[in-house]
Amino acid sequence: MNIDISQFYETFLAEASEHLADLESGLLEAETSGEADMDSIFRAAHSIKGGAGTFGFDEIAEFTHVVESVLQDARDGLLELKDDVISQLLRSIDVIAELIAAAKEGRKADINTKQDVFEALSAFLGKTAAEIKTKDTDDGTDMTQSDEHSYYSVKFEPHLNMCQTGSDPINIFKELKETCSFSCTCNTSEIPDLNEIDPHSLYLSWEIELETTATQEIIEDAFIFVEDEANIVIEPIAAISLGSPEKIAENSKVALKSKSNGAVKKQGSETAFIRIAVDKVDGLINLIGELVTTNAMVELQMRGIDGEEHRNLINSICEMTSHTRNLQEGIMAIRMMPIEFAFSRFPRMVRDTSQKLNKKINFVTKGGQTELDRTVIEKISDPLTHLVRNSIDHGIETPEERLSAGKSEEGEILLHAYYKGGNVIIDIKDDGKGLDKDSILKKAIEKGLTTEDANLSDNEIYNFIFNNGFSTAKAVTDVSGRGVGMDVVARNIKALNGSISIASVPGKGTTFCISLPLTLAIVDGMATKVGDQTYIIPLLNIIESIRPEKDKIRTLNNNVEMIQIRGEYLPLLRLKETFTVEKSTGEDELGRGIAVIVESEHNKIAIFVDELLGEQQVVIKSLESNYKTVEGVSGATILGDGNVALILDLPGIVRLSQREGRYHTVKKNSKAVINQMNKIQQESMNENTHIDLRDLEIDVHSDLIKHEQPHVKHN
Amino acid sequence: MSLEQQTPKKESAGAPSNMDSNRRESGKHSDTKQYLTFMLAEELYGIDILKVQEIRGWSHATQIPNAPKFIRGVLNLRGSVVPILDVRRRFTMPEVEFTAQTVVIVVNVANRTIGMIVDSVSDVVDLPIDELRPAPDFGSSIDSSFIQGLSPNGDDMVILINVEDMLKGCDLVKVDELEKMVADVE
Repeated sequence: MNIDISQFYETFLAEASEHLADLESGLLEAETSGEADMDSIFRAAHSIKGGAGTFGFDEIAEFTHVVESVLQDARDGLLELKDDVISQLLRSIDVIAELIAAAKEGRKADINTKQDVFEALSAFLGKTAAEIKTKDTDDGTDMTQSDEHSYYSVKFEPHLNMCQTGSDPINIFKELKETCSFSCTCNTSEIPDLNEIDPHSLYLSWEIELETTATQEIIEDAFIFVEDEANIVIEPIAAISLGSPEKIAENSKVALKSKSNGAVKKQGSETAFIRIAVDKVDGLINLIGELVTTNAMVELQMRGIDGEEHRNLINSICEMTSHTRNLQEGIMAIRMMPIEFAFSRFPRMVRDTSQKLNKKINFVTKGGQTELDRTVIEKISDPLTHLVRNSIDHGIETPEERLSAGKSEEGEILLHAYYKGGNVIIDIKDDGKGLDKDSILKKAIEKGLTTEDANLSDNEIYNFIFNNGFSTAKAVTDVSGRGVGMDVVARNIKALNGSISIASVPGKGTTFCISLPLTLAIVDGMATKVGDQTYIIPLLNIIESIRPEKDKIRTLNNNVEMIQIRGEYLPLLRLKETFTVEKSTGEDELGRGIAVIVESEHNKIAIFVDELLGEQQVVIKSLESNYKTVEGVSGATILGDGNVALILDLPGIVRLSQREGRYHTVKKNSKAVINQMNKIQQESMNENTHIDLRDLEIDVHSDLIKHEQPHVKHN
Repeated sequence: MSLEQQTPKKESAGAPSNMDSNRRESGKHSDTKQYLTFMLAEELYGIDILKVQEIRGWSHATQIPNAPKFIRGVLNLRGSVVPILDVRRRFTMPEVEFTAQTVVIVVNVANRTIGMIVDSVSDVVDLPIDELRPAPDFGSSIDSSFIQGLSPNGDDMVILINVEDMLKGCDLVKVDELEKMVADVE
């Protein structure tokens, strides 16, 4: 059979990245708690090396081999995992990550630290780099053979279901026989009465005595495939060997026993996952979106049916509806990932950053199992990194400052994710010095964002830090202080339909609270009617809806309308005019329609619509895939009756409203304007030219339209 | 969909500019190409059938704000949101009431799906490529850039339209983007 091995490369590289992440988190745990699951750390390195060797990534295999050797010595107690060892190992992870990335992109790895790290690690092994390099990467040759005869006793107690997974003890014994002389007692005491025997279960256990020249590792290797399915204890016995007794002492009791916590973790991670291409899942999600829509259509038809006559049909439809809903939830859940994936990169970052800044930080994460849509997790990682980095740099004080403020030397940063309503909340909490309200206010006044006499709430003041270029840091460090971070953070979170708020107590600390929707594919919206069109306004942005009275509307000199709501004047945007909706029903008279007050990017505006149709969850469809981006519209959705409704993009609408002035001035003649514009467009088409409507300038002071140098493209 | 399967051979969708030189050079060839013909203001038009995805009846479309007038709006086509182009408006022809005959021809162009409203669909015809005549030059009075050629069909004449060229002026896609996509396809 001819197998194209390259098709597995991608899988290997993806797996290698995961193993690397395990390796990193394991090492960090070892550093902080002083004890670690060395077996799993070692196994991660071993897997990377093995895979790399198999698939011909020699550079990765060769380098990882040294890492593995160091870890092996550490596991076997020959090498103490001191800080410098861990630091070098962490550096080596960066090297391997770069090697993997290079292999993924098919380029040459660009690392200058590789040789450094390689030599440093080799030094721990007490060998020079050259020696290791020349050594065969297959550890079978020079590690297995020694002249010493050692004796081991092995207790091998398979779990009942071991044979059901395709493992066979006979094969293990055969493998042992190749290197050891072997005597074995079989314990049959666990075999139940005949009528209780499950023919698929294995009731036997063995005690094996081995005499061998091979190392303990070889014996362990024989059991490697069943280590999770059996209790295995390998112990060296009676040092009648020709070798030094110390050696045996050193090797003592390093057992392959399936550690209880290790086993649970492994079962959780290995049996529970399959790897699926993302586009397959996306395909399913699209399909289920169709199904939900079709189902809604069927339900709509059902209303016209006589309930008595077609009771069975109606029952079936109701059942189908509930199955469809379950199916939808199930498929949406496929895309969900624990937020752990975003959290996992932080311990390392916190460690490096805090070392650089000479701060002591205890980094804690909670709620890593909280699940979020994959795309949300990918996009939230960067903002989170920024916030955590800010907390380290600006939030947490130096150990001296903390001690003099009567706090413990070590600062704490807590990353906490949890569900609240239909949202996921992520708190980034530090116990540092808190935000400096006065200097933020001073800076804001300096930048002309507010005036001195403005009466601002704490929250309003804190929110200034989300403005572009806003930094109160006295010095720009390479960690932060350039003031470009927070506005990006706020923008990214907005882009995910999320929001961020700040709570801060001087001297006690600061909490950033991010609220995110569970998924990007569905949005909670308010369906509104304008003329014969339905528009969806994202519920997240809606503050309230009111029926405005005529005397609450003021018109400014530019004919821009304002609405007064509880003492606040908000610009009023008539959707009918902004979107030039045809066939209005006449519901637009003020006093009859509804003003929906929305907030977006700290701007509040009132959107005037004919009526509210009700809240509903809508599946977002792209308008760009077949058309193009439309200003003021973020996407489309398909309603229960099969019609398309547009979803409003509020930042875009706000921008439209800010430009609205000139559209409003020609309001009375708006029909004429549109006709005129269409005429221009038609004419320009006949001339085989292309005019972008948005580039047409409408003269606000006259009823005539000039188009001042329209942007004309000749094809 | 079934229409697509009827087409036995896939020929390169010739760019209109090559069309007349093609004709001269390969005068002996009698290759034919299949076209879907449709009526528009009493005239017979044709488009390359390989571009056609399906034909469906007209149903009310959702208006797109501030779109050119010839974009009637968007329709739900089995879950994807498809813009609908009114060809009469695009060609500045007088408007007519939509009837039961009014159909939307859904075409696939440059990775996009777009619907075109026409008066009615007529037939699928095989037209010999080498009998294509270039459109006469009307000067600047009439835009003939998207006319691929004229082809005699019995006593009748079919005006063959290049869909890509027609969309270029439609503000649907940025022009250079479309050209690049067309170039990629070719």
